[in-house]
Amino acid sequence: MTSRSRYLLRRLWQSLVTIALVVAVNFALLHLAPGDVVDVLAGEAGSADPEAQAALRASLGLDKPIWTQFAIYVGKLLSFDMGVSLQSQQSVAELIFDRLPATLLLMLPSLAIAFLVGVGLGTWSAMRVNSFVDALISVLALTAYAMPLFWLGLMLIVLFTLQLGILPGGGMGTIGVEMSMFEAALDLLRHMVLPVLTLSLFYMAVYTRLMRASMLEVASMSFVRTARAKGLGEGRVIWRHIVRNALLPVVTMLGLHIGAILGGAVVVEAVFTWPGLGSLAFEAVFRRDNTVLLGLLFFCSLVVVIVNLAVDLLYTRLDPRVDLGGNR
Amino acid sequence: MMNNSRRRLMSGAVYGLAASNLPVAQAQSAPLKGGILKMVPLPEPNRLQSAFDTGTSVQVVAAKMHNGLLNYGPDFKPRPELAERWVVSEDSRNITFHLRAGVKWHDGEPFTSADVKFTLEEVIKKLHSRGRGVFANLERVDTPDPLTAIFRLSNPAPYIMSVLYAAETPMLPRHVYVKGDLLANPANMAPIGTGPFRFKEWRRGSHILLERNPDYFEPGKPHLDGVLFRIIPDASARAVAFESGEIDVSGSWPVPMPDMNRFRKVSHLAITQEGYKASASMDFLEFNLRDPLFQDVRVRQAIAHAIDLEFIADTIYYGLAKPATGHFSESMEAFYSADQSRYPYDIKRAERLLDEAGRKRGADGIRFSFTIDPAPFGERFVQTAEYVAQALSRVGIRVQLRQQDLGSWLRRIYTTRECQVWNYGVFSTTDPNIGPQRQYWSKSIQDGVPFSNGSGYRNQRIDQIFEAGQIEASQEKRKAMFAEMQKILSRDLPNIPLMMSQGATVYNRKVNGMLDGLVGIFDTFADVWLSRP
Repeated sequence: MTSRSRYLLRRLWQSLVTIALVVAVNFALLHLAPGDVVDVLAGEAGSADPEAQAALRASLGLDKPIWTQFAIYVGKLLSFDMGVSLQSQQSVAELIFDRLPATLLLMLPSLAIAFLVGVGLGTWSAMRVNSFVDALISVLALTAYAMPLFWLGLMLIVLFTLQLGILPGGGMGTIGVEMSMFEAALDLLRHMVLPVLTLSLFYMAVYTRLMRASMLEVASMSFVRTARAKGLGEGRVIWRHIVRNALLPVVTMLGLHIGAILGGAVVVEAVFTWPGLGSLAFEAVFRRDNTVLLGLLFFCSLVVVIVNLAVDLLYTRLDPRVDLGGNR
Repeated sequence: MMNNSRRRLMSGAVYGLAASNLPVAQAQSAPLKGGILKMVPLPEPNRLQSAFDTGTSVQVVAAKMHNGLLNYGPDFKPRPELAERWVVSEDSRNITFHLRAGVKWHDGEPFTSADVKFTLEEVIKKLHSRGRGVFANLERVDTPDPLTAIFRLSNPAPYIMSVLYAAETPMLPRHVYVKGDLLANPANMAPIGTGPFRFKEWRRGSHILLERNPDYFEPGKPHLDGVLFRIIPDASARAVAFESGEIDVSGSWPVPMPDMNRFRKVSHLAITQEGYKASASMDFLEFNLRDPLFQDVRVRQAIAHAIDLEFIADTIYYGLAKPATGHFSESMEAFYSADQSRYPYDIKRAERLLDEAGRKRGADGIRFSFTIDPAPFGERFVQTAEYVAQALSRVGIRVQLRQQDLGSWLRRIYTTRECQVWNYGVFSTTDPNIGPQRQYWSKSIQDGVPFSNGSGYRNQRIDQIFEAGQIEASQEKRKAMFAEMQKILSRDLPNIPLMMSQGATVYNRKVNGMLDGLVGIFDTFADVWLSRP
């Protein structure tokens, strides 16, 4: 067995244990929250009837002891059945996959733009350290980082939707109008501009700051001095030696962000009425829709595990010194 | 019938109307055809079936696709909908509905009395959060022929006649629902009704689209081509969407109070509080009477005297709610009585009552302290609790605020009872045996049941009146009984009525015909139309 496949096997086994733990802990945690979905339904209705409530609890299986509920849930999960929403009786898998495209459409472009521009700006900033450009980029990054997302989003809406009236302020598309494929795609793009801009500004700030710091750290290392000493051109030193090494922490961060992608961007989704997974999770918490929440968390843990694995594999490409056997 | 003062009160509730002549002028012209009305339900519904999911947002959406046997004019007067005529027997124990002929479900099947029987007996009586109580006396529905449905009652239940509208008691198709699990029926997500609009699509988290039902039983209606419900969870985003014209109508306090206030000056928007009388909401400050602190009525009365209701109405509600004048809402016109004890804002009197109750100020000036749990129904409840804390500090009572989400709050108040004082809003409905009975009847002290008698209030006379009211057929006698009840409640003060906070609807002035009935946004909207710019 090669060291790579041994490594993969071990990681797979660890991942399974992690996911099992995630499911168990989530299940326990969610049951600690006071009140259940039947309470919340009554709360939204403004009235309740004890017998109807009892009947509803029985039909949802909420009257059973928690161990039984857990056993039933795990049993279903093992056959890839995430159950049905306690609120709407819709299949949880369906609910999640319904929202997934919207979330990917928001998060992937945002992260891609943020990563490319962030790395670029961070690199530029580090190359001109302590110059005016560096200061300007740092101030902008810090501002974008510190600005609350909902405020930034709302200000963009006020400017582009209310004042200038050139971009839609919410939703994923114009509804109720017949459009050709091309028009529909253009319509979607127009709706994407503001939310993607809001979100990518935030991530861009993170990557810029990280890249700059990382560049400066790597630049002071002895192998860089060695590279220069052996007469390599400045461009080659920067791209082959510094940037490539400095990317490691940024890639780690990107991996974390991609892993968290399914959590969506609750705030941005709320402000721009973007029908993604974040708003699904947010509602599920407040409405005590535990099966939806468990399904989401389970799905997220799967993605996190897979992305982490991918990032680890990517390390070996960026930095050949990283050994999959775990010995650096 | 409405008296004059009541009429004046109501017209005063259409804010900004005087400043603009638009709705009045257009109401006179003939309805225009076409256009898609854009609404926002709050929050996104779980399903689109209000027969057993009585959340207000479910009702708003579902009513557009369904019909009730009746609907009601602004004066509570019943008007025909699926029932053309109805006869209440002498002893009030038989109500005969003659159904409209030729009505079809959206799938083409005919609507018959079998659907009425099924809906009442199998759905409303078993699963509706209020229906089990309202229809408790309904023994069965007889169907001598396909167009006649007779309600057979064990005892008179006059309030039944006030809940037969589409949002509250929608008629369901028996042929669709008779098989399988009712709660998991696909028609809950894609309804098949008789209503003016048919279900088209529901993209979760984005929108619900309804299209005009071309076969609607009223010729020429509905006027609209469709209704689009956009899901906008963020309140500020809703405010922006109203201003930019992206949404036309939303009810139940759709935007934060400051935005409401601001909208009064936005020319294309109007605010109305019409359309909530059937579900008129009241805000209360309620005591856990199991707590010895609040068992002395003088303490409760003192707290009532220490709170300035006008201040809450003006500052927190920007004048969009009126101070309560009793435990029943004034919009429960048939039963409201003005003859009761009142607690005007009077700090000195509050201090005196507290002294008499033996709750004297300590060395630090504090008499006692308690925790208040505002209901998580919106910012205004938190602000009201903050004001109460401020106001009571003036008479030496220290109040701590505790906030939580809906599930936690309901558990605390109605199950674990780990609470002292809370403020919340509750529907007073149209009849004391439907609304207030839940709050003050000792048999409504039920662990785990939201919006039941949470204070733990018990009064024999009150119980007697509720029980007599359930079976008394004469509205005159019931009115007298409930007037006595309001007097007792105002003296006992198990809770302090704060505001008559009917909902508020924000709408674009191009929307017409929405306020012709009793229930506003909860109506089927067969009569709503859009004027063009």
